Amino acid sequence: MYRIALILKCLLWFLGKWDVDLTWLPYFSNPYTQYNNIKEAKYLIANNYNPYSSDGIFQKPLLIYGLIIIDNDLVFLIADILICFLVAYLFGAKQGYRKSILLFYHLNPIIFANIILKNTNVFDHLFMLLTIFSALKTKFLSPILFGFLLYLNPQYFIIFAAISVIFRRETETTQKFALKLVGFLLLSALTIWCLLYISYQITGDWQFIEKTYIDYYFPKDHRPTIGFLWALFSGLFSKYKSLYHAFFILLPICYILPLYNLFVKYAKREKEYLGFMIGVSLFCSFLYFQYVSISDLVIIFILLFQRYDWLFNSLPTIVIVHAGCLILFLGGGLQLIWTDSFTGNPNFTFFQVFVSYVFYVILVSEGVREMLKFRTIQKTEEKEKIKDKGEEEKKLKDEKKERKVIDDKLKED
Amino acid sequence: MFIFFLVYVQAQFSSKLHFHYPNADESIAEFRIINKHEIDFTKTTQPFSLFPRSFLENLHIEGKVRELYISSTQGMMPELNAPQHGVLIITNEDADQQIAINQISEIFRIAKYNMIHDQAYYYKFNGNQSYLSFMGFDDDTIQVGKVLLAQDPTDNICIDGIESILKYFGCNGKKGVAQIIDPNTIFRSSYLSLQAKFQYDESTKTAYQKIVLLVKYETQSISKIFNLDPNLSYHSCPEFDSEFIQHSTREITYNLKSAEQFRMGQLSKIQDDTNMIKYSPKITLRKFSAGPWFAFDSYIHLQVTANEDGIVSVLLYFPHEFTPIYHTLETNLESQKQFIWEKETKKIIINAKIKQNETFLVKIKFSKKLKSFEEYPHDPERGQDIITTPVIFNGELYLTSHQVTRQPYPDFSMPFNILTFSSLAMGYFFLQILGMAVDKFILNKPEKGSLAQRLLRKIFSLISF
Repeated sequence: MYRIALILKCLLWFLGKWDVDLTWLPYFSNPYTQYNNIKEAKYLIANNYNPYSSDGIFQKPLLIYGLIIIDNDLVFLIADILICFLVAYLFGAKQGYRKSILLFYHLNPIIFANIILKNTNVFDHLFMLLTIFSALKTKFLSPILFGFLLYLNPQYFIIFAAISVIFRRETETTQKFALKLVGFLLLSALTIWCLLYISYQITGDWQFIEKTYIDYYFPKDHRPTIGFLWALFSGLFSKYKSLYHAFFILLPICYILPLYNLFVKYAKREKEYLGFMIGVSLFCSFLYFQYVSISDLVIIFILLFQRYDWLFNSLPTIVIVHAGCLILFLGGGLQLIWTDSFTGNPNFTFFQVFVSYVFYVILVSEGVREMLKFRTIQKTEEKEKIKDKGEEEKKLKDEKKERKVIDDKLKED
Repeated sequence: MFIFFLVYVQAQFSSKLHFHYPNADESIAEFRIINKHEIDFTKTTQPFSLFPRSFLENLHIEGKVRELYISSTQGMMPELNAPQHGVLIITNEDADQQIAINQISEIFRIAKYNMIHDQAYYYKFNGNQSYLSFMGFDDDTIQVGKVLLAQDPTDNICIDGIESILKYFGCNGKKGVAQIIDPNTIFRSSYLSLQAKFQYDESTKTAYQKIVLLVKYETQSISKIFNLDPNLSYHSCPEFDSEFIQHSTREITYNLKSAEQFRMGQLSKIQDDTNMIKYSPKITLRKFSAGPWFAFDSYIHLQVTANEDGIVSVLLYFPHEFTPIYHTLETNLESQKQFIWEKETKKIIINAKIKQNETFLVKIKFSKKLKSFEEYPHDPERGQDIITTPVIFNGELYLTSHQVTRQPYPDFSMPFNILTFSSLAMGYFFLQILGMAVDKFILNKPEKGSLAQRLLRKIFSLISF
């Protein structure tokens, strides 16, 4: 079934005339992911200028130069298909779940619009999944891929919690685990340094660091996005901006240890928790980022739904539909009122994003709570089973003793 | 601040009124007042200030400011290629330029950020042979690095400044050439420019002050703009050492000091029978901003039509709040393009060869950026100025009109509320994750109660951690 959907999607992409400009769609692309930046960089490079002299190009040098050299839109379709298969392969332990991921992904118009828009965050998602894949399968590539992922988007540092869980699962002693982690971090740092140096060689100076890593957190764009902090930073006084930025950049790092603690206890043997853990980690990290695009949220929700069977038991499941409607329909509508007329209050856009995020926060935190309870129930049941087994054995032993005593008595008699 | 004279040895106070006639229907009147005094401020016992407060009511310049130049205009004068603008130049050795920027932004009512970061924008003017020049001071050069260009033409200070500056025209404006200036009606002119320069030379202990008032008006309506009551008689101001009225075309100069009496009616009569000069610019410029005013992106279109063959250079300038999208730059003729970045300002220089009666079209898209709270002017609804584009054609400088483009701005009324709600949600989530990471889950079998009790339990389990 999903194969048919995939073939239809590819045919639609190949045969459809996709010169239409979809950049008017709210929330689908933002200044960090838009393909317009690649076009701008291409033009400046063709005229012998450093593309990072201009404002507004946030993609990293290797990505820009890579896309200019490849110069074929097929790379976005290939990346998209790879992402889908990686998600299904890595996290779709149950057959039914695997099929539903593939169908949901390929039949999703948001994902298709993302391919048409040629948003460059598709490569961030791809490298994230490749990092997890290599952490599970081929160990030596994982630090290199993690370094590449951080080079592309530092916000993905939160994946380190999931990688720590994978490593802990596979090492017996704490010392070996610590050595493995330190080695991993050192290799990743080395990879990042090499990539930065190559970027310096390509662009000719270090200007790209200021534009793509520092200005990254201080953009001056005004298009509202579904990033929770957009409204906060857009309306903040300059005096306090640096303080808040420093605070919100560092806060995702504080999540790494709690997330590791949460999942290492329960994910030691079961692979299914890994996808859910990564979904929760990404949500924690992107909550503190101003510019979240809708495709980022789609990936997060696919991963969060991994444990859908027990999620349906909890109340927040119902709000997913509400949140989705709020973002796409009500939010889009209000966005058009504000952006097309500048007469509405931009706080309308903020409040509908805020309400959606309240629901997402409840969803994620209650999802984790239910997962822990579920695991606690499982553990309790296991313990009770063991206890019952023990009691049964004791009973049998007692019965045997009684029988022996009766037999002995009979013998005496 | 006011000039406080205690001791002066030698003074020179001259005034001149010069009439120009650029075309058949319009006239330009240029009032020029020069005042030089030797003043030894070290011998004064009371506190003094160098610059007239009347002209710069809000300006409180501290420190040793040695030179102050201020210009404010209203209307358009193509003959001078001068757009609406306000310019303030302060030359000082010790004063903190930051303080000066803060203070002068109050006068021009533009965002301070513009003045700090857009200082890369400047252009030099060379006075031409006639007395008409952009600055009005054709014999003075301006130090380019210290030009702070302001862009708020509707808030120019001509309106309040004219009336109070009259006292510096000598005799409190009651006598001399200043007598014909009527502060109530002078704004009916199509162009009005007030420029003042104040300077103090410590070595020669001389305070120098020069004020130029340029008024362009329809020749037929001279009596509606100036105080030219034919029944009034004109008396020279005794403070002036020299007073002249000059006409460009007939090269007539009236020395008012020697003329004992002069009637205003005679002035208007001279106006009626003079030969007029035709003025024809070499190029015609048209610049406009295209696209919906509410869009996040907008276009700039520039049309240059030449009346003769030549080379045209266009300097497009984008301050920090606008980012040009370079790959959308289009020109209809073959041209050389140069992109320059100076901190946060962006310049594009386009050179092209143009033939007679040919039109050179330039089009570029730019995106509007969101600014911080403090960077918005007091009236953000007015929009953001895109200042004039200098166009150099065969060595001559021409300036286009400026545009105003609407810019998005955040809701200024609710930053605290947004901060509170966002921090609440983020804090709740963080504590949830942290709490669950350290908590030991002990499962209690739920007691079966009524529906209301079970519902309440469920709600409490949701909100508690």
